[in-house]
Amino acid sequence: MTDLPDPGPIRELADLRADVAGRAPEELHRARGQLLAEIQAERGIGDGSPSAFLPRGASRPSAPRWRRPVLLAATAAAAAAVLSVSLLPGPSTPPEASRTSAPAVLTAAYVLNQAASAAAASSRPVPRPGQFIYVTSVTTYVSSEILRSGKEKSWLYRTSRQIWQSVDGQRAGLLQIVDRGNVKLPWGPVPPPETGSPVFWTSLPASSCPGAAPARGTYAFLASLPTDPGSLRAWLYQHRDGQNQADSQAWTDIGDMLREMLVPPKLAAALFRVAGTIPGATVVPHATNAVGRSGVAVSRSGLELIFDPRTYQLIGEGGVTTKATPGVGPAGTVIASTAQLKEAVVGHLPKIPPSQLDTSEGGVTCPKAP
Amino acid sequence: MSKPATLGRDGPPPDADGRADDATLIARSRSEPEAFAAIFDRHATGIHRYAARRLGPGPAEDVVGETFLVAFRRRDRYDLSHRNAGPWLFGIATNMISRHRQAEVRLYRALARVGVDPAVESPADEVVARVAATGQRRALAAALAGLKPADRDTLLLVDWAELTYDQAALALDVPVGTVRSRLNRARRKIREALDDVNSTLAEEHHHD
Repeated sequence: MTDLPDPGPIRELADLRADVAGRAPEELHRARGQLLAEIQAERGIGDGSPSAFLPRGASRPSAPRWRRPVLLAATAAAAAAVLSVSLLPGPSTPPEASRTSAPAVLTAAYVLNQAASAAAASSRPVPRPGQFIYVTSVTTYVSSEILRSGKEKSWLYRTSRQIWQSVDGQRAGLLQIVDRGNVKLPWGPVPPPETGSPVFWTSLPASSCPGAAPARGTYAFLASLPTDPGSLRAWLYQHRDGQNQADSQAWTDIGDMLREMLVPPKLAAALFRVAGTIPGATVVPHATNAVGRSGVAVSRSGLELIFDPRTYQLIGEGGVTTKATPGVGPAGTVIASTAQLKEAVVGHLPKIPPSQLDTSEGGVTCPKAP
Repeated sequence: MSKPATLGRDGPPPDADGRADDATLIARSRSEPEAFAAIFDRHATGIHRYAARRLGPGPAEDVVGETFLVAFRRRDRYDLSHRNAGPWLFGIATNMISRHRQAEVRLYRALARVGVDPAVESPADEVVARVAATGQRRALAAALAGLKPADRDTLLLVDWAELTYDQAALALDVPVGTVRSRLNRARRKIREALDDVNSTLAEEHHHD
């Protein structure tokens, strides 16, 4: 057919109904209202919704597939082995010294207790209100395209992230995302090349008001939580940030609190100890973070926390499918990995020309001071 | 209307003035759903105009509503390598319009039969419309009614929504060669129908 001459556009066709009015967006009340209602509905769920361990701010692709991972029977059985975790304080010896006493078969609880001890022994800067938590990371997440045939094509895409978050949530923060290209999944198609501008800057709106309690997700909020594991566990289960089954949600929420954040050492230790009490976690002896550093991971329903095998410092997260997923691959396909590279406290945001800066919506509106 | 409603034949993404492109907004909407409202504000007018040309203004707003709901629910699967979401949205809209296929064809047939276009003209316009209706327009409507649905979708995405061939291929999820062959076939049929009318008119003129 292609050797036929192209007949070219037809004037009469171009003229037919050419005077029909396209309505401006604000005139499409009903259609716009439907969309906004849907957005609100999702935010309602979404604000309490399992984010798995996706990063804050922009670029959270294709999360739903493993946002609510299915707990396999095998994993559930393994849970029995980890139930005997206590909330007693961990060994006071440094983790390296205690490695000699590691059990022959590692349990998730053991790894998490080692991580708790390492965190408790670490020292972190204590930020002041008005300052920013600065974190850099590398992330790899799955991106999918659905064809009209219903088939899906998926691949991984990598980004580098720098985030500045207001300590008390009362100032705007900043996020930079740099595209690092697409990566083929083992069973997937060759991904399309990245095109266009590879650097995105987003202003993150303030989340908290002066005089009010700091919003969940801020450093100030984390600093207000109990650091006794028993109390923290009770708090976490009472304030689950989503609709998943309680243990799944608690695991997800712990991941959310640790991600892209400078976590106060005592709280980090308590979070790891609480994670060690959640049934269903297993050990992945050889896991790799997003920059290729190998570690030991604890995994629950495919959501992994990866630790340095010597120091038990958290070095990133991993995500693995728990069942065969069309367009992605068999169970066990790695669909996410992250590496948290640097955490610091800074006093100021870098200056970004407004023309390069997106503004993210969804911040708080504070009442004016009387 | 303050802005051109269509993408333009060169298909430039609407970010010439330095705003975030569609892919960036959609990526952001995955964690901040409200960012998707900006996608609506950018593209709703163009989608509405395209749907109104095919179905009339009333059903067109339904199509706009359905299109953006579907797009919002599928945003996790949007291919971020396409910076301009227009072809994706027009593809979804075309699917939504195909649910109204019978109504669409009825409108073309009505126009072909009586020369009044129910899609754009109110009864008050009828007298004027009757006068204005040409044999060409009626033949054109009859030809549109007679096209295969896939050929009509392709033709109208290119000639009414003003997508490029590549964008139409993306919207319809077919190879660009298929877009070309569908367009060739559709345009030939329409030209033939128009030529028939023109020769008839010429003959009538001759007999005068």
